[in-house]
Amino acid sequence: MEFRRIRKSFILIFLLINFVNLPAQTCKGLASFIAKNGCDPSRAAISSQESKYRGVVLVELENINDLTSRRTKIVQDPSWLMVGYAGTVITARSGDVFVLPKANVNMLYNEPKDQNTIYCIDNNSGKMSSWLSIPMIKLPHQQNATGLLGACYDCDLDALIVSTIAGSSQNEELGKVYAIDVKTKKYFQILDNIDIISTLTGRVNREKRLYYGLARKSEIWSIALDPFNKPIGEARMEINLDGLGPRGDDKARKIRMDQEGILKVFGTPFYYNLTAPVIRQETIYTYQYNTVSKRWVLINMR
Amino acid sequence: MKTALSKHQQFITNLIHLSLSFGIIGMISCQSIENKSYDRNKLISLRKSKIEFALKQRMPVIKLYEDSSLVEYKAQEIALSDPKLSRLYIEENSKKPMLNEVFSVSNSRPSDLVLNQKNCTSKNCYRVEVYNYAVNGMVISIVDLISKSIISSEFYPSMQPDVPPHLAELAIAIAIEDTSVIHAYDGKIEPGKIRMEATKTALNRTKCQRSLHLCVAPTFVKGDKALWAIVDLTELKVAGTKWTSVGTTGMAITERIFQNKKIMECYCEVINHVQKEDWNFDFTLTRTDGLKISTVKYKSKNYFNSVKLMDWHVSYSNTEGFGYSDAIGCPEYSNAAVIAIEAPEIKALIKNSDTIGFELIQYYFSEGWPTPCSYNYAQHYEFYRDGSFRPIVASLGRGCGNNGTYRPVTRISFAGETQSTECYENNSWKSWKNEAWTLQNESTNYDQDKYLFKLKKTDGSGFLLEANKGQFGDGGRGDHAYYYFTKLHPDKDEGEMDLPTLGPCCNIDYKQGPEKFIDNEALENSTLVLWYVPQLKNDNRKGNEYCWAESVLENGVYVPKVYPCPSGLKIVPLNIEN
Repeated sequence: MEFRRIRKSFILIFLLINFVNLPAQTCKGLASFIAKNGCDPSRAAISSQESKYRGVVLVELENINDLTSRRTKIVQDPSWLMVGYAGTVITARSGDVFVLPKANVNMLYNEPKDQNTIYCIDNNSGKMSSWLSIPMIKLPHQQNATGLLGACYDCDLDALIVSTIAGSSQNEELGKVYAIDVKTKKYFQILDNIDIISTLTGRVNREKRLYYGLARKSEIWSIALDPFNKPIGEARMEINLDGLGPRGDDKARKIRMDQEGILKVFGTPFYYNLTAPVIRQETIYTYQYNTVSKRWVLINMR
Repeated sequence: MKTALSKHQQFITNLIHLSLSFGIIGMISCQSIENKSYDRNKLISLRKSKIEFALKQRMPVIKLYEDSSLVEYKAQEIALSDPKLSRLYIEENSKKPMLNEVFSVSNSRPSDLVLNQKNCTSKNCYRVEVYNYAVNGMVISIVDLISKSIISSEFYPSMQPDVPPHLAELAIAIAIEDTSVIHAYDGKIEPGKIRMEATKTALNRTKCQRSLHLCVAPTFVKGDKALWAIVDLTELKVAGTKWTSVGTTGMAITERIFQNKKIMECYCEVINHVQKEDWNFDFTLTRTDGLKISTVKYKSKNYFNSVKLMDWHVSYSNTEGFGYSDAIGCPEYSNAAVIAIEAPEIKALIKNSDTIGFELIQYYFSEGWPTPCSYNYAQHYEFYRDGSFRPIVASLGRGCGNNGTYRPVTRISFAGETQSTECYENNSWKSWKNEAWTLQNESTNYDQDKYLFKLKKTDGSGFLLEANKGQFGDGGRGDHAYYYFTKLHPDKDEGEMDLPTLGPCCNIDYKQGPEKFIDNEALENSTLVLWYVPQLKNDNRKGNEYCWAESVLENGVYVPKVYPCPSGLKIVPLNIEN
């Protein structure tokens, strides 16, 4: 018994030394229109992935912790179709919901010229409108239908950090990452000429960094940010998903960090086409930061 | 365990462990392999016998241990007796056996103990890994030899255990004897030469994401490059080969990466030329319009500027407006939703035992096919020795329901100027002066009971268009097709370039997209474009399946069973029939 207690203590100390808790960015607001639409806010979510629905829908789930659970209510305001097929959905501190377009199966509802336009559902009215269009060097074309792709909300500066791959082709990588002040809509470029599929700002060892998943490789990189979200120094590779999971060629579609500093990487295939798998091919890779080795350690895959 | 393995098997085991110990899949880890000859045919034959034998057993499992005196055997038997595994033995509906195999039996690892139990120590507890080939998943069981009980067993979908030594040996044997490997390696990999310093091998992990089969990748180093041979151990064949640079930690070579790269490099980024029999043409795989043939000539006579498949429109009658509009084409950097994953093929065209020409075939695949709501399409270009031509397109199911209608849009751009276009109406040929469309239906009548259109060219040649009423003997049931004739403009693009999706999924009338290019322009003495849109209703009734596919168990694994619905008119040169 004594041995077990000592072993437990040792494990606890080991964990405390090696895996620090990292501050999570939790400032997600609650959109008033959810309750106004008769949905229970504690079980509701905005979804861009509902079968047979274009745009986004407000879904009330039987179990909010299980996104595949039965939908007890589905609501769609007609204005929510204006985005065409949608991809990433981000809720701001204010409760406004930002929606990025993402062509699905075909481009019939996603005009190339609109693929760098961010749409916003107003927190109060629940109406969607075109919020900001970021200029494109080249329009989406036959080699790449996509513009905006990844996004996260930076709570420090109330900024949307978005990535776009508009105009990129097999031989030309034109992707960019922008930081957009959600109050003023002023934006600046953080990264250039690199195709990025997901973004996340977070602090590791008291250093704020932008984490980003590459579109062409199964890798997650990061770069340090100054207090104004301007990049500092050289980028470095953090995580390599190559060969991991049931497919072995996943790209980091989404990166999120919880309050304990646990990094969740949502991996899925991405090959710059409009293939729409019937069964969502996604694996969630969970990582914890080891401060001794200064590496992210894979702790779970599901 | 050691007593059950030969020295050679132990060597392979060490090799695998060494290879896997690097942690990163795709890393080229090289170890020379002992001099051993591989009798591929004998090993495959033995393997097939084992499979056959296993599938006849109450528990369809290829066991790793047969010697009942071994503790591993006992652990294996306890694990296999788990009632929970019965659902992995027999498919409930068909009552057919699913193939399983024990991949390893070993002392339980410290990491296994968290799963369980105070009484389980590494001395009495064993970990048994069983792979199910049908569903591509594994079971990890922890068994207690003393209490003869199952402490835990868990099924992990889409996961594959490390292969046992005999399968590693089989994979290497399949690889080194395979013609594609020999071709890629530029010579046979002699087992004796494997020991040479410059020629080494290792067994790497890989994934077959599309076939969902068990695959491994024997890797052969030659100079500063390594040849990965992806071996499919479910089908006992090589699924692909690819050279990589030694020493780099590049992307792991998997089935999908191999397939995509091959299609992109060999068919999407280049124009291929065919000169066969009296036919001469170029072909390339487009980003959204399928396999396109261009500058098609027969006996030096210009036939077509191009022929391609623009879209597949699929609508379902039980939900208004529900369906998909799919583009087909290259697997990467494309707007295609259903993609080419295998190379196009040229085959002899044989009818009634006679070779009457050849055909160029391309298939398209969506991830997960043939599960519900996934799609698979085919293009066959038939080139006849008599100068006839038939662009066939087919759906191979399965779609989202049994009430679907497929409307593929084929575009045929005729070469040269067509002097006149005539349609057979009310038992006579009537000239079409301007751009227009028509629908082939029950009241349509045909010249000589088959021809619906006649095109006469300025040089005296021309074509008759034989409508598809299900008479072609390919299983097609007739096309009920829309025909659209438009004028080709040299100064503006109306589909000659790759076009994004032309029309929506679910229009049930002539508005399938080509009508956008009909604006009453004169057709006489013009270069013509024919847009051809058949309408194919799917069917899943037993014995009547059409545009349909199912997964069926064969030899313990799932294979697709397809019921294609081929469509397409036939274009016959005027000099043959008139």
